[in-house]
Amino acid sequence: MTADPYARLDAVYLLGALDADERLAYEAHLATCRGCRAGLAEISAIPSLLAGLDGSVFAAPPEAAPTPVPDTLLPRLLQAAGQERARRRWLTTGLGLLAAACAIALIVIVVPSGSGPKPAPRAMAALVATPVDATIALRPRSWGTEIDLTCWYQRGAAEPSSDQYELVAHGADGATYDLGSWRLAPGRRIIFTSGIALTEAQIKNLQITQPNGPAILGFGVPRLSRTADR
Amino acid sequence: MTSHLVAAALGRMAHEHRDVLRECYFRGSSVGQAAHALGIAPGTVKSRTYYALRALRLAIEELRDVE
Repeated sequence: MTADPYARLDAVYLLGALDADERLAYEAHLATCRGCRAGLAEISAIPSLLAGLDGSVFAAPPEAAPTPVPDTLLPRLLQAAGQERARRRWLTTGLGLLAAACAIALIVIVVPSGSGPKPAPRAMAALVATPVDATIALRPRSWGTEIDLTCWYQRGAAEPSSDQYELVAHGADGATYDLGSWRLAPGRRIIFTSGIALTEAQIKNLQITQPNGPAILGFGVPRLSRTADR
Repeated sequence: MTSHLVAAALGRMAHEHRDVLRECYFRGSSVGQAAHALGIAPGTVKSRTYYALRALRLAIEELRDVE
């Protein structure tokens, strides 16, 4: 736990202070680390409590307060701008995360990114005994559904005879769609984005297979009640 | 949860902890910006914020128990 380089990142992540690269790395790590998810859950309610506060409460306590700044227009404008910025940022990046982190089925953590809501990676289920793990995230697009896949060998797992894997989708219409293939090496994580010309509701399931082999991991797209068209 | 209780909890915190919350939350700074503003290392911003949110949570719980 103490060796986990991500273990101290939950707070700055929650406050939206991580830069994009580090945030993405942290989110990928979250999908695979129960300890970090639990750490994030511990403090996930805090930012909403800070949301309504005046900035003065972040200053030094009264007995150590510095000489008050004259209430001229500029300091007031700066303070208002700072409050507005913090509020706006919190509204766009915070609330979605907070709601999800609170719900803390501990699997689903939704973090909006700069380009719209970022889907939560969800674990694929093992269909057979396999050393392979994967998470998948689906994002609705105007052209269909974008699919982010992360795949890796479990630590210490014996490498199977073939290192080649494929992602296939089965449509509700009965058709099969090849979404890509890759080679996997121990200790390496592959991350790739694929796409399919179906809406999420039209995808029956997603599976990882070995060439000419059975499906080893599966992901049944949950049948949430959703608006019929988008 | 009343905001005066949260404000009181903040008032109880070490100023190092309040400083990182002011930078990273209220001012909307990144870790790098906060580190620059406070004159500390980025890693210190991360760990202080980590402890700050936990200290704040504890302080709020204690105050709530009193009320």
